[in-house]
Amino acid sequence: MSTWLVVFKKDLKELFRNRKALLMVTVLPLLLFSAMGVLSNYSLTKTPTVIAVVNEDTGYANTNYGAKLISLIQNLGSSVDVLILNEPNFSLATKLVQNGEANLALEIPSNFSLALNHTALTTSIVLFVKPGDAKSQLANQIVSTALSQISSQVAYERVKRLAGQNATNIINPIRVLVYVPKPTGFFGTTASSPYSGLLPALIVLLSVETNIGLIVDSLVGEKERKTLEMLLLATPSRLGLITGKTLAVSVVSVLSAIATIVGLFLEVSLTFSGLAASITPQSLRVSPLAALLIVLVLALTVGTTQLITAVLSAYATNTKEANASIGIVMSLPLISMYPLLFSSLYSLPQAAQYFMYLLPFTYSYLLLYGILIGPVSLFDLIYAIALIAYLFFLLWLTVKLYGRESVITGGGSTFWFKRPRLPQSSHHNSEDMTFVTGQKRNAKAHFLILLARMNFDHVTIRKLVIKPNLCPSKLYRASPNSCVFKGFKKFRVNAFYDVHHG
Amino acid sequence: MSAVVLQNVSKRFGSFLALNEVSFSIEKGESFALIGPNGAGKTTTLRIVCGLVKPSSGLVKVFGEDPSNSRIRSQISILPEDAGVYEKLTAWESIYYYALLRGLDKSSAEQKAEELIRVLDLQQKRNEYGVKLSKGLKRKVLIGMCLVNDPKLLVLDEPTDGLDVRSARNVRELLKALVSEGKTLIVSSHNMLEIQDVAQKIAIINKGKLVAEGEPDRLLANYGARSLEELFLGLTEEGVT
Repeated sequence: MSTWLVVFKKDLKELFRNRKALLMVTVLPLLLFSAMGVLSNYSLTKTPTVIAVVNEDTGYANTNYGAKLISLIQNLGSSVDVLILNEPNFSLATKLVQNGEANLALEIPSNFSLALNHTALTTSIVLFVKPGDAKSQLANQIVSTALSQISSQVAYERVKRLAGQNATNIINPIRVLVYVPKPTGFFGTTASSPYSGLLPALIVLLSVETNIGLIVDSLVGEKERKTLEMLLLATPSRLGLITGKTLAVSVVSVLSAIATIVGLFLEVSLTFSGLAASITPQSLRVSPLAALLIVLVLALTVGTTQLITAVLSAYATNTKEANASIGIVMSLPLISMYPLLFSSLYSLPQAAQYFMYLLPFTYSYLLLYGILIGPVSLFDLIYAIALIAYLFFLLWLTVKLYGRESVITGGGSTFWFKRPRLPQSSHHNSEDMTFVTGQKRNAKAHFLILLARMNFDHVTIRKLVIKPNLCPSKLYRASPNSCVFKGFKKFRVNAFYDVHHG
Repeated sequence: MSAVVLQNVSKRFGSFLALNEVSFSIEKGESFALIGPNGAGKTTTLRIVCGLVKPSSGLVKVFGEDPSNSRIRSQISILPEDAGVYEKLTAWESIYYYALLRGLDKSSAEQKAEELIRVLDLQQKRNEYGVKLSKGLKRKVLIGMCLVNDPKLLVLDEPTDGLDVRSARNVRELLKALVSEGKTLIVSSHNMLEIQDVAQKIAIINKGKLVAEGEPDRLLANYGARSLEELFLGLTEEGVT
């Protein structure tokens, strides 16, 4: 059996046996989001939306638009409770809203039917809305929808009275034909809601931000548990080891990302279930092929993220230290996807676009955009190749880093921050040490001195600043007892120290 | 041909000289103990022998070849100090996993795992997860993981560290049995009684330098020491390098 398959099976077995963690990353998002949806739905539908109505309209010439409006409002939401006040007192209705007993107050004036029956008259409806209250906003939306229906009907009848059969043409001089190709997305996906533009960025964000640190536990955890040394000796292929581990954590990460995304959609659909179609956001329909492609893009994105974390935490000696790298990994997709939640990639400044193309998450976004919204072009093939190339480059880099002996011996520094080394000397136990530097304000020299202070107790450490820009040989001659630092010229040493035997 | 040869091996980590011109050789089928105070360079030496770490200078040969060669590495097993087992794998699965990693096919790996479970007297605990095993049992599982490839050279860093008297004795008996089967053994330990019991040859290392090497009895006679502990303390006290 290939090394990658052995490692993959074993790691997956371990991950699936950690039932608590598995439930947390897969079932919990589903339950949590669903529960949120059910609760929101309960709040919107099961507890009635109360509209306090002061109806002063008594009708006119066999028509009663006030009663019609109330009836329309009741039919728009299954749980709309219209509270008709007996006395015509609008301030009492507003008090009910302020006290939380009603969500909206509506005053229908006494001339409502009269005005609507006469072509030259207009009338006013008064609404009292509670700011910051979601149910009040919903009630407002319901009343506005009902009013709009009555208004359209009355306008049509007025024009018909004046102009006869041409009423429709007069009211609608321009006909708008909205062409929505079916399916909108290339793979049978319909995402025609006004919010569908933010879906690709949202999916990338959700897939990346969930379980970002699984690889840390898988790779650095081997170091922490002291199993890495045995494993590296027993594993013939370093590539197989890293591939197996990355694949195993990616399976769990993809499951978790799917659970989070499905959970989020469940929340939205549950929240608005039972409400009239005119006030419900359009749902997303995904064909099986589109769903498969979305999962593939998710897998590539998740794998890339795990490998970036692996690269950044390669030199960490324990998971605590490695987790520091996670912050960096998390900020990359946040930085790249956040602007795309509000605008398209092409509306960003040119420099920002170039920056975005450096990040793998941009290619995931563009691919998801093609799948969900369309159109799909040959460029998507290039994006897919770019994402796969990124993944393989990171795999190669991780294998390279885990092939270095410092992974076992503990380099003690992270990949992006290499701790400067102290110049070599065999006199570490000396009681006196002088650092010689060519510059007074040299950050690296200061850091070396700090390191020396931390490493050598009971040693007096002095700093000697000599003429700046001295060439290394002159610097050495200036302090003949100093130890020689290997690779002195090559690495442009910032400081070296001179040891005096106590 | 010697099993292990180190000639003037030095290892430097940045400015720190971990090993300084260390030389020794181990014959095939010999049990060799490396002793020294903490930070003396024992673990680095063991890692160099296994090919996990490359020396900064000097020559290392294991069975006549460079230990980083994959063919040679397949004949070596290492048990690091404080090594842990996989918490969510059973004792049997951990050994089986290593057998697969070492290239055994599925049925051979199963047979090997069964055999080692029996040899290490782990039948009662074969289905226990690593997290539930005692320290001694974990050590036994780790030894099992080391033995799956039937290694010609077994490198053990503190093999009985943390074990109770009975478990430590069982492990020592097992090690002696392995040597009698012709396997070469390198043990690093702080336990002088264990060294005396297991090792045919010892090397004392201090501050990265080899300060003494040879058969225990000969070393005791040469240095006029009454015990290995006395010899060790005499050769590794401050100032002696």
